[in-house]
Amino acid sequence: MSIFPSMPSARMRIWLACLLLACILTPQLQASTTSKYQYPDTYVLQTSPINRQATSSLLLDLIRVGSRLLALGQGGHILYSDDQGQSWQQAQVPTTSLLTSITFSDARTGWAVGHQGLILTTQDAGASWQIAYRHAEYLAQAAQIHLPALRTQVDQLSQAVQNAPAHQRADMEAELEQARWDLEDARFLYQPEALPPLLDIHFSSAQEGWAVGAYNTLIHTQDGGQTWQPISQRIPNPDGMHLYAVTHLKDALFIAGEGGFLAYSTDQGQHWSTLDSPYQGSWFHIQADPQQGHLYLLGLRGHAFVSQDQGHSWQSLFTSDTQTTPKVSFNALRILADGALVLWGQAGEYWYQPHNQAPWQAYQAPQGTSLMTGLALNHNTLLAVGQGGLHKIKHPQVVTPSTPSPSTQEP
Amino acid sequence: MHLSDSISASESWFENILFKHRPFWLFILTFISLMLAAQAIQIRPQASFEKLIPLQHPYIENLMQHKDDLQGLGNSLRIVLSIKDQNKDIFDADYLEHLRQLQDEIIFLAATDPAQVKSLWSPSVRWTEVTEEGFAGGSLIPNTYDASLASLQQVRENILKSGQVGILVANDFRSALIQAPLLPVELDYQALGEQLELLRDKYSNQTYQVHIIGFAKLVGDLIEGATQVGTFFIVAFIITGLLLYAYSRCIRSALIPLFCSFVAVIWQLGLLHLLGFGLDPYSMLVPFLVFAIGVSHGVQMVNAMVIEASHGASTLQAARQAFRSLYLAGMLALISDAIGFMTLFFIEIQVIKELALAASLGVAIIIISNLIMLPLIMSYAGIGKKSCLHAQRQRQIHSPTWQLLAQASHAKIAPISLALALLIGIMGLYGSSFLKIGDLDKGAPELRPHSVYNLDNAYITDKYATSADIMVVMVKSAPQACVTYPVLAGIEALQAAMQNVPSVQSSVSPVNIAKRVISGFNEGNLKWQALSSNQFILNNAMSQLPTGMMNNQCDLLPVILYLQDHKAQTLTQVTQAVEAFANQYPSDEVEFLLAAGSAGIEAATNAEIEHAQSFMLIFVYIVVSLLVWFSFRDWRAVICIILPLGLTSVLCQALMAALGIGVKVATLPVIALGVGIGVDYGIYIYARLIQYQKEGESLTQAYYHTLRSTGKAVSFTGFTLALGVFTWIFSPIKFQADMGILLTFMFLWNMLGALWLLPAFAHYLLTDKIQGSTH
Repeated sequence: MSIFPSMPSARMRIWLACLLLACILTPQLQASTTSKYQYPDTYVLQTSPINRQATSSLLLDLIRVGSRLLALGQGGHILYSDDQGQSWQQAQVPTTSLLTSITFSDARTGWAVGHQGLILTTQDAGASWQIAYRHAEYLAQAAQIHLPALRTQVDQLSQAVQNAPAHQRADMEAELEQARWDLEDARFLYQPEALPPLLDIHFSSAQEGWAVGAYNTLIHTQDGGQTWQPISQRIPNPDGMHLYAVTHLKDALFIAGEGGFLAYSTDQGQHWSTLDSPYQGSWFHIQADPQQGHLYLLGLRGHAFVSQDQGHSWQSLFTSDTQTTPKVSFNALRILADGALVLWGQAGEYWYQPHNQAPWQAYQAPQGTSLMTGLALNHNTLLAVGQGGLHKIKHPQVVTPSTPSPSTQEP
Repeated sequence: MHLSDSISASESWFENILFKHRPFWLFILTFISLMLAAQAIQIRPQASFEKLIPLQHPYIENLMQHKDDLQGLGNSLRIVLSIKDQNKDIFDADYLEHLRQLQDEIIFLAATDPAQVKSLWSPSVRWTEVTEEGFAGGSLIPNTYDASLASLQQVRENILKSGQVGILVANDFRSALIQAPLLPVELDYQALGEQLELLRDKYSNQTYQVHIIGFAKLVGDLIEGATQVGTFFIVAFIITGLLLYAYSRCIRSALIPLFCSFVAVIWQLGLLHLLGFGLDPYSMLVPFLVFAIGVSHGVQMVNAMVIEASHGASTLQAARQAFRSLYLAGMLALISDAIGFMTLFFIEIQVIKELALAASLGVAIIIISNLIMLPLIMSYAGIGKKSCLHAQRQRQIHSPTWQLLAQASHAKIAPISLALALLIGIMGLYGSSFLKIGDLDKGAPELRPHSVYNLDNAYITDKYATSADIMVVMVKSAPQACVTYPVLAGIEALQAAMQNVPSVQSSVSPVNIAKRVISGFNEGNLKWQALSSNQFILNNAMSQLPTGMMNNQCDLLPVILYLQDHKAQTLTQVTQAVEAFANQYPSDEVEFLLAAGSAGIEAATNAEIEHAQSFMLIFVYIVVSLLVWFSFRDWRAVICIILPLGLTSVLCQALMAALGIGVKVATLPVIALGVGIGVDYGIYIYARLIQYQKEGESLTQAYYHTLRSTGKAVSFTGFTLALGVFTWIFSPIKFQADMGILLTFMFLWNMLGALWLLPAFAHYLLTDKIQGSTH
């Protein structure tokens, strides 16, 4: 399903051929290329306007930090509540793009990622946010470094082809063709319109942070978010699958993504290897349970697995003796304070397991809209986010609000 | 004085031509009447959408320019089949079968576009699901549907997956909707309305109920309701006849004005049809007015004849005398009526213009029918003896009522009257400050709140997600650029801004669909539900738009705003919010044009009406004042006649505010009609008053005589006019009822103003001393 892989590949070639054709056939692209260095920013890098309906607009993530609840989503909305979800304030945010994930590295320092390759940070527990990283800047710099070199290579090769003797010409033309493709790939990769949406952010320690995104994007900080570096090329992901989620368990880092993509690193992200995936459909979330030493992996069409051996083998959460198996896609798994698990799914479906070994129970949120994630609000209420914003759900069983702690606050 | 001078001066040639060749003229008039009657019976009720809207307003110009591109948002019907039993839902074999049959019948209606009709049974309405391989999907009711419980369960699941809840299926699953866009051709709304009513009868029973809404149905109901008004005409006709008889005590003098006024109506309808007009629910008022005005002038003529005859003149002589004394004053009054109506021509709304035309035509015809034809007929028919005796008897009896009213010009009463009038006027001004522009009721304001249509509308807006009050912002870009990021980002920002406008419930645009498609292409993950700045992703997403959301040139996208109601205040709030956004938006590549949709059109209509209201009021007063001045060549006449009218206008506005009637297409003409017709009373009374005064009588004496001679006719006129429109209060059409209430009020109060306030003004302006010094 990936549309723009970052590494050259056969799949990409076909895409690019189509795109070039589209370039010729669609006149509007000509217009858009003339102003390409301004326009995404013009519209995206504005202060998110106060929106009266922010609590009922699309929200994608929800966490608890200390006594504060934070949710984020559409239009650059970041909402916070200090009274257990009774009332919400809209934070000051310097973008209007869709925000996808939020985490905190300490009680006051928070991080959020979103579309247009943005990483945001807060120093005041979420009331106001600043831009910490713009992938657009990286692309512009990279284009300045790489494109001239590639162009020179193409020029030199085409010179060489003309001067080459006849018997070498075929080989050299193939080489030239390759160089041209490389140039096109790079051009495409570095154009500012092709900014990848960032889809998840996770801090494995106060210093080490990881943001993943579409088209195999991985961005890393080693200094607590002072500087961020794209390190996508370290991941063995030739088809450029989207990376949907990143987490850590003990010393290992895990990334889950599109088309059953699953990778891990045991050396703080220097080297990455793929893992055998129990399913070839997309994973939307990977979640560690440090207390049990479990890893949970979930995604498309009711697929959810657990690993007790650092991701080497996986068992389905829904064993055959379970009466029904889920059909909806799962977006997140949350571990409640009492060890109960909640799987948040599409179409308002959520699955609840009161404790390990107990059978899973399926519930339907009354609104029926897709739920991205949620947490326990008080003893019989869950608070979820998704389509239609915040949803308070009366749960028939007693649930225990997760105790806040900065290191595990972001499942 | 000018008027009385001209009456005596111009008696000869015109009167001679008429009365010397009576059979010839009557033959000509009969011939024309028969010709026009043949035309009149062909006249049909009609209603046209474009005639109701101000075509010159920039919003409507934008709309008309892009009309073809907005067809998907155009004229369509929504038909709902609901289940009465609270415990049942639509997942029932019998229900689905009924729905299918109803849908098939709707597809076969001549007016509907068969390819576009949508319901649960349409193959084009699909559910989709993301699988590892891509999308899976199918029609809501699968081919394998066999009415079994299992397949009903399948239908339920498909509907939940399709996202049609609130669109084609009610939120409570107890009804389903059939969406039927109509063909973009000239429609016979009346026939369509009848066909739909047949379907309603056929499918409504103990179990099910049919609800139908849509502009076409509304127009059908309007025409249907307006036709019922025809029966009111018969009622008005009979009551007027009885009143005439009570007034004259003579069958002949009752029937002839009635007949002549009826002929005027026939001429008016015949001429309208000849000119190519039909009768819309607004101009349907005009025949009533023409009839009433005709009767009132006929009464003046008969009254004059009775007086002549009771003085012993022969029938022909009485008719000639009556004609001679009245035709100029009558003509003047009728011409001022017509010119008053003409001021409506300045309102750029076609129905109002047509109403002005029909009304002007009608009063012009009364000059022929009741000022010329009536005395001609009366010259043969004559006045009954009873009538003469009655008149003689009346003259001899001293009238305490008139005596009392004559005191209005008295030195002690006049200041009290004027102070009281001033007080009422101030109260009226205060009351009229609450007057609102536009329609104030929910649903279709044209109909009564408890009409079937409005109940259906309330049901559907309650059970389905979308409001019936829609404003469409047309987002314009360069050709082929509608799918570019700046345009789509602009739409997204507009929609976000609209979320802050309290009266906007929700909004839908191609951007919502594009974002859903982008998310869909990424396995339905909501983290992708955003616009991409990548053109290829946008091209891909926008290629999935349903028809009607994007035009062929790709330079126009609609943003549909669903509003909580259509009060003028709401509409202004929304249009101002959109305009403020458009001014601030930082892109030259995109333009936000207002406005299509029912609410957009209403916003434009309100703006036009607000603009026209004061202009028209000032204009009609200037015109009427000038006419009065030309008639009497005296500024005092203008004050005596016009100021009482002004009080009526103010009070009428206060009444509208009190009754919750807004200024709208239907009520705006009422003000001009009220002033135009109201001036008649003043003219008749003032003319007589100064005549008696000139003969040397004191003001109070002169006024007493005026009342004795024309006061009765004037009050009779007031009641006839009021009666003619009073029956309208029972119209099933709300705006006709509003017109009826307001016109009745204005006719009665104008009469009162003329009888009570005119002499009070006269006390200060036409004092005997000044009178003596000027003459």
